[in-house]
Amino acid sequence: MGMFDTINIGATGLSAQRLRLDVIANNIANANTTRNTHGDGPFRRDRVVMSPINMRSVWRAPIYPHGLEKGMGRGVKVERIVKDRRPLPLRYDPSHPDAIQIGPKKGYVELPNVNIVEEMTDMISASRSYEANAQVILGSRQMFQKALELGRA
Amino acid sequence: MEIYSTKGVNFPNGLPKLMGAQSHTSLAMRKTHPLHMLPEHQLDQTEKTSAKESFASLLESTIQGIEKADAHSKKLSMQAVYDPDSVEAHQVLLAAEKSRFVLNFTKVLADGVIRTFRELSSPR
Repeated sequence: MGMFDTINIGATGLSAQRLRLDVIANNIANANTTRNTHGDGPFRRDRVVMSPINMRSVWRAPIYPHGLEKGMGRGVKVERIVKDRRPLPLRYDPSHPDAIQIGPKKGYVELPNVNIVEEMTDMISASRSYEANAQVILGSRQMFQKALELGRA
Repeated sequence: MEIYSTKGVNFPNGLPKLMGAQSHTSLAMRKTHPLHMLPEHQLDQTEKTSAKESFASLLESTIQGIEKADAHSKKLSMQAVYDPDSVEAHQVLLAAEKSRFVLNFTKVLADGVIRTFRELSSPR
C-alpha cells in the first residue's frame, strides 16, 4: 500500500467508466445505422468487458485454492470491447436501400440491436460509478489533509 | 497442518513446502500483504543505516519526487491544452493534486524538522 494507491485505484475506475460512457455514446449515435463499415449488416451494439487489475498468480493448484493470494487489487481495466450478438430486429421496408433482396427475409431491413432505454440506463449506471470513484478519491484526499494537520500541530 | 510462508510466490517446480520440511525447492505461497498482517517478529525490522546519511538520502529522494511529480503534472497540463483528446480530465487534475500534496507534505516534514532542531538547539 503506497501513499497514492487509493487515488490510482480510483483513477482506473474513472478511466474505465469514461470509456464505458464513450461506448454507450457510440451505441446511441448508431442506434439507427443500418450499414456497418464492412457493409455486411447493420451496426451491432458494443459492450465493455472489464476485469480487475491484479498481481498474477504464478501457479494455481486445485488442492490449495485459498493458499495463493494475489494481494490487494490495483483497480479495474477494460479488457476488451465486444459486439453484442443478440438477434437483430427486423422491419419490413422493401424500399429501403439496405433491404434484403433475396431469401426468406426479402424486403426486411435489419436494424441495430440497440435499445435506447437500455443504453440510457447504462449511461446512468456509468455516471453513478464515476461519481462513486470520484468520491473515493475525495475521501482519500481528506485523509491526506488530516495527516498533514498532524504534522502542523 | 498449516502451511504458510511470508515470502512471495516463487516456484520453479515441486510441491508446497510443509513446515519443517527439508527440500531444495519450495513453493512459497503468499498469504500476507507485504505491508500488513506480518508476523510480529517482522514488524519492527528496519534497515540499519546511520541517521546522517538516511536523512540526506531521504531529503534528496523527496526533492526528486517533488520534481518528478511537478514535471508530470505540467506535462499533462500542456498535453490537455494542445491535444485535449489524448488525456482525460481526471488524469490532469489528479496529477496536479498529487504534485500539490507531495509539496505540502515535504513542507510540513521540513517545518517539523526545523522546529525540532530549534527546540533542541535553543539554550534555556
